Parts: sequence; C-alpha cells; structure tokens
Amino acid sequence: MEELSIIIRTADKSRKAEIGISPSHKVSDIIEGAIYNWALPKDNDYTIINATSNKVLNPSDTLQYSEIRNGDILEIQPVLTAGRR
Amino acid sequence: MIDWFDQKKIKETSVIVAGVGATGNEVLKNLSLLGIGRIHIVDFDRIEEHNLTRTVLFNEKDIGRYKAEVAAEACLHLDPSIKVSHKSGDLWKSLSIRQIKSFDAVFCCVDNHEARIRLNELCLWAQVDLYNLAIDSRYVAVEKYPFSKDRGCACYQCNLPASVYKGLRERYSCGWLRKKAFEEKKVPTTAITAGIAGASACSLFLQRDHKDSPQGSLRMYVDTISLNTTVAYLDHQEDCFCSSIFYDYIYFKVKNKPTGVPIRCNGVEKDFPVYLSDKVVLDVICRNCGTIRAINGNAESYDESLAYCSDCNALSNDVVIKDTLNFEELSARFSETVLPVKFLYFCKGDHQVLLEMEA
Repeated sequence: MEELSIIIRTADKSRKAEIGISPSHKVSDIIEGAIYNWALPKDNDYTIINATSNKVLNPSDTLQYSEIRNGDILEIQPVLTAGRR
Repeated sequence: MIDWFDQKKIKETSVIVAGVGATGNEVLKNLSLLGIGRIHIVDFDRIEEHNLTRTVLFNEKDIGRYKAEVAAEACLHLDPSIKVSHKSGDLWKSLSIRQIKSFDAVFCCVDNHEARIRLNELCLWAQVDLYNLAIDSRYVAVEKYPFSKDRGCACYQCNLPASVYKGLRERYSCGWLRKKAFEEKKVPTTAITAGIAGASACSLFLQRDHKDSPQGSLRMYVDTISLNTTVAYLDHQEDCFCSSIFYDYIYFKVKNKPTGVPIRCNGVEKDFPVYLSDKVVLDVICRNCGTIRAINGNAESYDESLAYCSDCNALSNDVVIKDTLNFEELSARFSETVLPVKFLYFCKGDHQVLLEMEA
C-alpha cells in the first residue's frame, strides 16, 4: 500500500509537520504520535478533523477508511469538557 | 428589520438549558434578550464566589442560592414576557423524556462527559435537537445534533475518542461503583470563551431552518487567540449505541411501583433481554465466606465500600452490576421492590418499546 503524504498540525497552529504514513494506520495512531512527539499534555483527550474535507475523523478507523488523501491537512483538537464552572 | 430574524417564530420556541455556569449564563442571556417563548433551566448547584467572574446573570448577593433559581429570575428581569421555569436538581433525575419532547431544543452547558453522554441519550430518545457547548481558557467547541429532523445524524457519542471512556472508567472501581477519593480535574475557563460559545450556539439554533444553515451534525471549533475557526461534520457510527434506538419506538410512562409493568409483558419471551438506562447492583458475594447479599439498587447510590465484607473484615466482596436483564430476572428481583432505573427498553417483534418510570 502506497504511503500517504499528509500534514498534521495542532489547533493553535504552533506545531505542524508533513509526514509519510501508511493508509492502514489508524487515526488514533496519529493522535498518539502527536502526543509523544510534540509533548502534548497527556491529561487531555484529543480528536482529529480533516481540515481539507471538514470531517471529524473516528479515531478507531484507518486512514484509508477515513478517505484521507495526499496533501490533506489533519488538525488535532483537544476534547473540551468544561462550561459549567 | 433583520431579514433572517423572525421574532414571531422565536416567541413560539421553547428550550431547555442544562447547566447554568459560564456557558449556560451566556445562552440564557442571549435567548432572553432575543425574546424566546419558553425556557426551562436545570442545574443542581449553588452559586459560589468564584463563579461570578464568568456569569453575567449572577452577582454577590446571590452567593449560596441555587443557580437555576437565580438564573430564572434574571431571565425574567431581562424580558418579563418570556416564560421561565426552573429545577434545582440533577438533570438525569429532573428531566423526563416526555418532558424533553415538549421542547424544541436542549442546550447542554454542563462541565463533564458523563452529564453530556446522559443528556445526549435523553435527547436521542426524545428526538429533540441538542446543542453541546464546551470551553476552556482558549478554545470553544459548539456542536449541533439535529435529532428532530435528521434520523441518521451522528450523536455526541458517535465520535468520542476511547480515551474519554477510559477516563470515565477511572472514576469507578468494581465495575461501576464510584471511587470515594476521585478528584475532578479543574479546567480554567474565561468570560471570553463562554461568550463566544453562547453566541455561536444561539446563532446555530436560531438559523437551524435557514436555507444556508449547515445540515447534519457538526462541530464548530474556535481558537480565541489566533481566531482560527473550523467547522467539521460528524459522521454517524454504525457501532455506536444510538444505532440501536428505533425512531418509531412505542412509548409508555409507567408508575414505578413494585407491581409495575416491567415485570410482565404479553407476547415477550421471558428470556428476552431488557436494557436498563442505569447500572443496577444486583448482589454482593464474598469470596471468603460465601455470603450473598441482594442489593437491587442503582449503582450510582453506592461506592467502592460495597466491596468490603463486614463479616470477614476484608475487601473480599465481588459486586454483581448489570444494565441488561431478562424478564424472568426482572420478575424475580423487582416484583416486590421499585426498579431503580430511569427507563428501560426492549424489542417485541419488529417494535421497540420504551418504558419510562414515573417516580
């Protein structure tokens, strides 16, 4: 399976990287890689959107199933929980 | 004067606002000023001093009073012509599916995943639109789930990452008993993020029928520092629990008394599964002395101390917790006691039947 070339970035745009990755990888693998490589806070939950197609990606799906294409920009967003305090 | 703004329609609209903290205050302020017809407010909490930096409807003299009550008074102060009711209590216990059905939308302004998951479930059953607001000190997320119009739309749980469920499980021990010492993570928020969340959610709600309004479930995400905003669409997931809900289910409200309806149902096999809305502690069984004690109570009412066997003076009890029983088990356990759940559902032929318990 041919590698995909995609761009990963954080929601605040402070981190951005172009990566090559197999389409058989899961979306959650990208989240884990970003947390590890960019030292994102581990006590947060994260979700990913495809900023090119404006779709929220399911972490348990593969990149192929999520129809990720070469050049797509994926944005990692913290899952927010607060609002009441 | 404003081409997209239909004051008459807004006056005929009714909403529930669950949670009256930073975002709930903003939603209520906006809806009151816009002259919405009817608002029902739910919150279990009382006002504390630290709330006042992010809550436009509260002030110092309100400290110690219930948030829902004070917010209701403030809404009427902003527009005496709107109808406002309030309930100071837990949303799961305070809101019935039948009650939610009589509103046009629910604004979820709570501060934890558990409450969001529960409100999502109630709105799914009630087929009422859900607007979910969440903030921290920098970001804003506003989600729209149009359950009333789009039967195949994603629900709040469809795209929740597994790490959220993992985090929820860490609050419990022995399956679903609360950990006594668990401390919630405090998330700082600001009046700015709350204001943007409240305005965005109200705008999405007001324009839900506009021809240019985006369709389906979506999430708007704002970075209040860079002002970068994304709108992303959420897909329904076939393996999500919401796929098991029939949209044309048969609804009954039943008296929750020992001889209630759930025990017998004509035409349903006694070993058919019955799905309960709440986890129920059935028994505790000591691994050392073999003592079996029937509990038959809602798991939320108990904590991890249930694992302690007083006869053995040890944490030797296994706790049996279930949220699915069959009719035979229900009959054996709850023919003489109240069934400690909010609702239950089962399938009968091609139909799904929902029984909501009346206290």
